Amino acid sequence: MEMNLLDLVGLAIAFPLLGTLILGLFGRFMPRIAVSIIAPATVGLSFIIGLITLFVYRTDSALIGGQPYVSYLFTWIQSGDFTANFSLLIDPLSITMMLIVTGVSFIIHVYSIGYMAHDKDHARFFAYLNLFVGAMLILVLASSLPVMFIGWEGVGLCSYLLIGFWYEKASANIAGMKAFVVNRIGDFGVLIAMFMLFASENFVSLEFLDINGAARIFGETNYNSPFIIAVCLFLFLGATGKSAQIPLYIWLPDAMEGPTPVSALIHAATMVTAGVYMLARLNVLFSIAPTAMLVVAVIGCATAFFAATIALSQVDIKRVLAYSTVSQLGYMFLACGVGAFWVGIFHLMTHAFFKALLFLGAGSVIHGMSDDQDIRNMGGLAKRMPVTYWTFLVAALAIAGVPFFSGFFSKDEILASTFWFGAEFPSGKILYVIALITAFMTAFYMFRLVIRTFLGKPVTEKAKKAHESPRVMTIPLIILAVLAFVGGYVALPHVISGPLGYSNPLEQFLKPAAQTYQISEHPVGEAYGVASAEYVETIEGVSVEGEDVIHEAAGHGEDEAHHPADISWYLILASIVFAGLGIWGAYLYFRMTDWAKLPALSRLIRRLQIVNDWSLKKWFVDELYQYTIVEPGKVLAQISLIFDQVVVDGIVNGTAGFFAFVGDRIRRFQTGIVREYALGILLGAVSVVIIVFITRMVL
Amino acid sequence: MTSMEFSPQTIDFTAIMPIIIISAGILVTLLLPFAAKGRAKIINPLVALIVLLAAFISSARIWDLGRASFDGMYTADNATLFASFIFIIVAFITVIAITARYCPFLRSPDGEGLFASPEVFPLMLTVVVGAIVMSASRNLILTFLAIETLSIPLYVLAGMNLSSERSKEASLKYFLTGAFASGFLAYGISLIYGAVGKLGYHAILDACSPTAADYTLYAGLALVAVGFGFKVALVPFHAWVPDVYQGSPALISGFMASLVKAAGFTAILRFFGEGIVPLYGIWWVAIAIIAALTMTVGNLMALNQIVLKRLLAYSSIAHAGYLLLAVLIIGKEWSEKGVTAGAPLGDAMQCAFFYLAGYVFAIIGSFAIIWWLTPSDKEGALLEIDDVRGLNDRHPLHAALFALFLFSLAGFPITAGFLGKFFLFASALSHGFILLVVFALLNAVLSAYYYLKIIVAMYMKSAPEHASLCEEPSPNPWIYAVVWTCTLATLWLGIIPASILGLLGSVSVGG
Repeated sequence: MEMNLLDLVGLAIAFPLLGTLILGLFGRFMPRIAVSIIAPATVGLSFIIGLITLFVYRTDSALIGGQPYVSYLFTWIQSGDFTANFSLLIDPLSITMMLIVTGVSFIIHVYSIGYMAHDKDHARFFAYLNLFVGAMLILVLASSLPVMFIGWEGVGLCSYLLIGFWYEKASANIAGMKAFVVNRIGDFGVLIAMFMLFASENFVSLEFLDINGAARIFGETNYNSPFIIAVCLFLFLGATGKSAQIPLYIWLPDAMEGPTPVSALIHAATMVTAGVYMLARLNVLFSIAPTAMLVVAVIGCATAFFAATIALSQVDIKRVLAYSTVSQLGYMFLACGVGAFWVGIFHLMTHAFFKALLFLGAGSVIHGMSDDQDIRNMGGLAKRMPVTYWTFLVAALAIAGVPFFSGFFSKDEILASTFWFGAEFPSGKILYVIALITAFMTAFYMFRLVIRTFLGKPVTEKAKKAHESPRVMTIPLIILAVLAFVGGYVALPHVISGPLGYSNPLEQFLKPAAQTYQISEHPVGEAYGVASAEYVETIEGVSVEGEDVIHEAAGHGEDEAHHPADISWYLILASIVFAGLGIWGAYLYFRMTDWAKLPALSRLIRRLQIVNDWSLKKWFVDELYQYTIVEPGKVLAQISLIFDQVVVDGIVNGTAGFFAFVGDRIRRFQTGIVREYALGILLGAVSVVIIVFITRMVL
Repeated sequence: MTSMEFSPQTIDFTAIMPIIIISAGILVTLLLPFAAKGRAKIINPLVALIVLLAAFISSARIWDLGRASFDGMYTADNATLFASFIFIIVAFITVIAITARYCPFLRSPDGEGLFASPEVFPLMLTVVVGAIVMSASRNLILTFLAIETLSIPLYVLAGMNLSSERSKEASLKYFLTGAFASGFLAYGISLIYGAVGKLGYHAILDACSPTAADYTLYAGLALVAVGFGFKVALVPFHAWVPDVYQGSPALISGFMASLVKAAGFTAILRFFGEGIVPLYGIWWVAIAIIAALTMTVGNLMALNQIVLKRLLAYSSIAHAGYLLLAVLIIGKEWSEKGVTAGAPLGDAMQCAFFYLAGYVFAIIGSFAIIWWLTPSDKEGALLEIDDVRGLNDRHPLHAALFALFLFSLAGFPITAGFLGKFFLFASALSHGFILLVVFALLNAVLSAYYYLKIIVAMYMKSAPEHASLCEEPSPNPWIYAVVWTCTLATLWLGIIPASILGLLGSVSVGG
């Protein structure tokens, strides 16, 4: 086979794994500084290979229009007519994921040097962290479902090892176990789906390209057939486990027992997005099962809403962020569910930046507060930790969806996609409304967090003595803050970019790999999942070089419904208003008393407050917010929390308890007395004879 | 008894050469101590190793030839030979490890747990002969003889450690329940003979018809199934397993859990697939129920175990439950297509053997680690999960290899266990056993919990404050032979299974 520079991509996986090997075997004997260099360096090399891959891929003339390139490593399974190669798939989707994973991982590795500076086990920590990066790269680069499953299990294992990293904490062990058990349920779904595809005659191999290709043909005759729906739903069950969606989200908040860089990397930026990635990877398969897509959209939307209500009332800084992650992942699934796969990936990217930043910022705060995580004990940290404050603020503005910040663009794209989905499929409108309310709540809880943590007066002695973190921690924060700000400009909304004559590079790039496939015989209305991708393409309508090729390759170009630009503007306006209301609401509810000493932003908001007070009596607004938003919100949060703790936890713990109980009961037969064993054999023999006889009689 | 009358012309000596060689080895190792006196402890294992090597070569030479002997009673087809390879490799590494620990010049300083005599080697060779004949036999009488040839030395081996009360207890319990189960097997065989008048598998195959209401035959095959079920520890014939595996020296437990189970399953697959497959419609319900029971009870019991050897014992029971799926697949496939001599064994046999190979090396590897960790068997029998806490800090290599075997048993990717489950479950699914596969997968999910419990203890817990049982692992380098062979096999099968699958592709029903 001809050698291609793209085959270098295998090295990107090899470097972190090599790092694991070195650190795992010799880490304990190496000086601290060596460990601190090797671990980030391996990931940095992977990132550079990611950049080379991107460059080579973009310039390779044979790969125009998002053609995938398969880098073959070796034949893994060869059994009869079934073959699974260990090969890597290079296409825009995997390159995007690879860059996100290695880029964010590298920054977090650097940050961890500072964060874990005083931990005796830091070599072990970095060995696990490197292993995680290697496994995650296998996951996103795998060319087939079984190989992806290696990464899938691998990241799960690392997550589990790292949650329980501080094994002295009993709660960390329990949390690790919980994450593990819940994820196994999800894995069970992926396995079932894999077996179903394997056993089906219509799917010749488990290569992603083959699955999507076969789905294209299979979909013509079996559009939305029960088989496809079942496969997709089992895959989605796996996704709900890994990406913490209803009903399997419960492990993620507990996973915050691990060190904060782990929360940032694994439980916010990368691993938990694996489910979203899998859906985008199998976009054609999902597209021919609109019923499954609808389930994805509904579950995603419900999770986004539900988790946001819980985040409203949490007092642990990391738990607020954890529920927020669950909620944002819900948004990504909503995007996939309504057919806008590339938007899901877009939000995945911006979320990786700002959520990693939020967690690292929280880590910096916890560091400064001597390991106190309760936001009720904080306050006034802005002055003591200015870098942390400003970077945290950027991230909060991004996640809240404030214009010009990255989160605004991606979230707006999701909301717009959902809206157009609602236009094609009427009851889908409710999804839009819920998503909009969630956007409001997101802004509200984020600014509640910012205000209680950073603004006002220090509440405790600890908060007064808080100090800024060392530079090795703050520089990553600054880099991430830049990314969290500019990350959205790779994909501007079409109403903005269109008139500027500026195309949407990310969408252009991702489109061939992560768009909804449309079955020619089924018009848009029927394949409602298709709607949004269609509109996106149409609106854009700007001709870019090579675009015609893309259109043709993707089989699009007809049935394009035009979505008027003015509605798009209204949609953007709506999301701005809701985000603004959320921030304003948080400010009013948690407003400061000591105005004079406030940082700039608060002074700005205060001016708005004066205007507000002027027209409406202050207490009245208070009451209004109290009874229209805060109280219902509290009740809702309470209900959600009770549901979480009693029902969901109950089921999980109950299941474990049940099995332990049954095991205990059976154990009573294990008496150790041979006479009774013989009796057991005798009874068993009689039973077997009786069963055989009965079978014969029934026959 | 036409099927048992054979003239010297029907004896194909190349087919039975491996068992002739090993049998000669048994005699030599048994008699040698009289001549060699004290040196026997060194010479005996050497002879055993040479004999095993010779048997391996003579097996490999008749690969693909499909030889048979004694009028087809004994068949050396590729299924037999592949199973023989597993038996011989397992015996080979076990002999090395046992020698390493018990030979006078290599013995650990305290000298405790010494085997009483060099008879351990002829006993182990006898087990191997029994196992090979079990997998080759196509006649119930020969099968019965083979099972007894395999079992009786095992009763002695289980009690080999005279200084341990538990070892003696294991021996006695194994013997009593084993004798009881043999009774069922013998009675079942006599019922089948009464009903059909023949004992050869092919004769039974021709004689039995699913339409005739012959309840004597059905009772007979049910009782034979009980006899087999005891050997491979299916629920409810499993109660002896935890006691025996816990009491026996760890390596003997591993020997039993791997070799005996592999031999038992080869025999079961042959009897059900080549003998009574026309009655599939009658036996499948019972087998399906036993499969579901075996995996569930095995896993549920393992959940609460704290003693490592007992935990592994229950784990081995659960694995037998998964393996029964292969029996169902073969029954369904062959009852639909009909068995023809020389036909490829089909993917059912292929995945059964692949699963067995993966399981065998993971389980013997795990027991070998326990053996490695505890200098005396008395302690090995009591080694608890708490004792391996923080093992990674003290003995990272032991911990990493143990973790690998446990991952394979739990079915994690890149280990043999994952692909074994993958092939087996996928094949079962494509034959329509949807409910059972879902059940098996749920069981696999459940089982991961207790395997991970051990790994958590090794990696995520600090060492216990009281002195642990595994403070001073055996320093003996020879034990590495077992552990590294198992490691290599587990990864080899998991990462490049193509080589073994290619070998298995040519496994066929002998002519």
